[in-house]
Amino acid sequence: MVQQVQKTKAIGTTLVDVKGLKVHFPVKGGLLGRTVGQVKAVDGVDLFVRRGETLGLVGESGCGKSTTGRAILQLIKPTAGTVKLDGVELTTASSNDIRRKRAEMQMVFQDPYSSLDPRYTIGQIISEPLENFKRGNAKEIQEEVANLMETVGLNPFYVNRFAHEFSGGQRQRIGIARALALHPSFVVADEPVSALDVSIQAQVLNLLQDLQGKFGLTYLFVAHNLSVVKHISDRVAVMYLGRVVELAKSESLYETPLHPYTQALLSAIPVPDPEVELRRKRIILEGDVPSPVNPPSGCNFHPRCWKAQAICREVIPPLEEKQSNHYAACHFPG
Amino acid sequence: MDTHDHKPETNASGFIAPTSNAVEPEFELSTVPGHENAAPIPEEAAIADSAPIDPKPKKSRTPFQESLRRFRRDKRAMISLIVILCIVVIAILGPFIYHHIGGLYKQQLGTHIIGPDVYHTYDHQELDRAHEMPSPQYWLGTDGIGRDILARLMQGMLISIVLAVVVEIVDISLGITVGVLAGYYGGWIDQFLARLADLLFAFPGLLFIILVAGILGGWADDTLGAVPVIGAGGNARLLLISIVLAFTSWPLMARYVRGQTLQIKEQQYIEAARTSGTNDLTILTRHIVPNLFSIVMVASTLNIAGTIIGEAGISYLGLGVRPPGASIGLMISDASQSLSAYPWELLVPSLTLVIIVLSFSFIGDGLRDAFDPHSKD
Repeated sequence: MVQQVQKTKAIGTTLVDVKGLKVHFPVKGGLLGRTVGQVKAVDGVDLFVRRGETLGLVGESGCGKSTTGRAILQLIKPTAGTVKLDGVELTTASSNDIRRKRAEMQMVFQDPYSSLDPRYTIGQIISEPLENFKRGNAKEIQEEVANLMETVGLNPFYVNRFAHEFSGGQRQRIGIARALALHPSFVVADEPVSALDVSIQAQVLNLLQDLQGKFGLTYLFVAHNLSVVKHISDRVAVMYLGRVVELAKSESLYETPLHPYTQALLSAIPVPDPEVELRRKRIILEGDVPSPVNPPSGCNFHPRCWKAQAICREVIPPLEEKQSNHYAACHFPG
Repeated sequence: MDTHDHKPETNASGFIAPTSNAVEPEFELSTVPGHENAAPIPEEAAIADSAPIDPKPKKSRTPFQESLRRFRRDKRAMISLIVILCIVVIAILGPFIYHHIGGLYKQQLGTHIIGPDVYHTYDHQELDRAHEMPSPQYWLGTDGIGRDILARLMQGMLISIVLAVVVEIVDISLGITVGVLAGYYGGWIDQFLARLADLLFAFPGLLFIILVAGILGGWADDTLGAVPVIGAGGNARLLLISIVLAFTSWPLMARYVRGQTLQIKEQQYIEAARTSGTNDLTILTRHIVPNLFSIVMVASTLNIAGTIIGEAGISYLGLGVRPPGASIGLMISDASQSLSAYPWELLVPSLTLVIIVLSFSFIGDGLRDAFDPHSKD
């Protein structure tokens, strides 16, 4: 039912380069509100996004994938690490510089309901970034808003309606129009379809792909739905407990996963064919995801890993190129 | 299922025809198995199906206007609103009209036309006409020293309403400013607000007002009374009471605002605004404050009732408006001395106070019901 779209993207140079990104949230406690611990939501993420590609970022709930997206856009101040957009360092930039840089990096939000101000009309919502960056006078902005609405498949007639009058899919189109208003080069899509009905998901995904071709966008596509990620991504990064454990081209990741966690994750995808589904072998992981307040030593997957040995408890495996263009953070890949 | 075609088809008027899939109604429920017969949501259907004949896009109803519509359907609140409006009109326009149709004082003072305000000075007392019941001259009778009760009541209502307005202006501006900053930035300003609110909640507000009014009352009369705009005649004392009343009530308003701000700030549209390059000041003034409107309106209306009772209480104790000035609290105090003989004189100001306070409470309740997102009918 999901129509495959021909991908005509040139693999380009690196647009976004993230190294050792950490986001730790303090846990306050006690009488004086002292910091008694830290939630290590993102704990050393390395990844890079090439110009014009879609990088899918998958992982379980709470593994830090949304936080990673926000930290790259500097919506959450990273605790450590570097983020380079087009060669410009963002983590040390002043808040004014970052605000100017926002024209190049935008975000599509997860919840189409809470991401639109209930007191704003569609026109006001889409024109907000245009006015912030003074893209033309009132009339030009009005025309641009109408163009954007048509681009995302909304009738410009509804420019003065309020968000609550639209369905979830239409609201997500409004959010996409707002993200595109400044013609950014890099867009973080934070689970843009997970709040939508299945029938609408495909429409919005196809819209995102169309726009990518049209405007030469680069996506970081955060999702927990492996099928959606497979459909839209050129490359996929898998996160576990605040770290990227595997990063590879979509096909090679889904066919030959190297990291045990990815293998377990992929074995959980149900197959539509009932006969295949019956014979399918699932890898059942033992135990729960450890708390990010107190992650395990070494490779943080080792307590649940069937390949774990002494070295896994002591040494954090770096994200290395194990095969051509296939990165994994594991001492015993394959 | 081909969902890929998003080319806008434009018709003669330049708008996308409503039949193109761009605005195809997304009946999400109807595609889910088991929901084939589910009726489409009317509002969405209305958007998608109504052909735009009028080329000028119209503004449609905001959630705020929806709430106002709910409020207008609330009979109790609407009656209360009308009562308050009547009281405001009587308090402001009454004195100008009343002395032309009622009252004997025109005869008594010869050709000199005077208004009911003579009853707020010591100049005019008719001791031989004390304790009269209502008559065509004195519509609500006279009090213990022959002063027209209606004339004094109008002055008392005016004082109550002016005081409520002054207190709410201070209450709202301080409450919103501190509450929004505390909620949005947290940190020391949040701590300061929390401790101040705790302090004021622990310390009885009325006691504080009595203390300040008692200690600073004389000073206010002497010093502030000399300021031209405020002037003499008890206004300074009234101003002092309003400021003290506002001072005891704003931390509560700030707490409401802070709580609501904390909630709004977590909404994704605030993050979206930041992503769009909107600066903090604009986020606070254009996104957060407008969304506070309903809670501020409800809290301030309910606070007005307390303010008016507070002023009446202070005046009753003799620390607020002073004789010969008129205030509802002072009238109650005067009348209570002859309660057993002339209960009517107590009934009039007391009933007026009850009506004003109840009306404000009902309006507040109505606003709360109308603006509560969980009470959609």
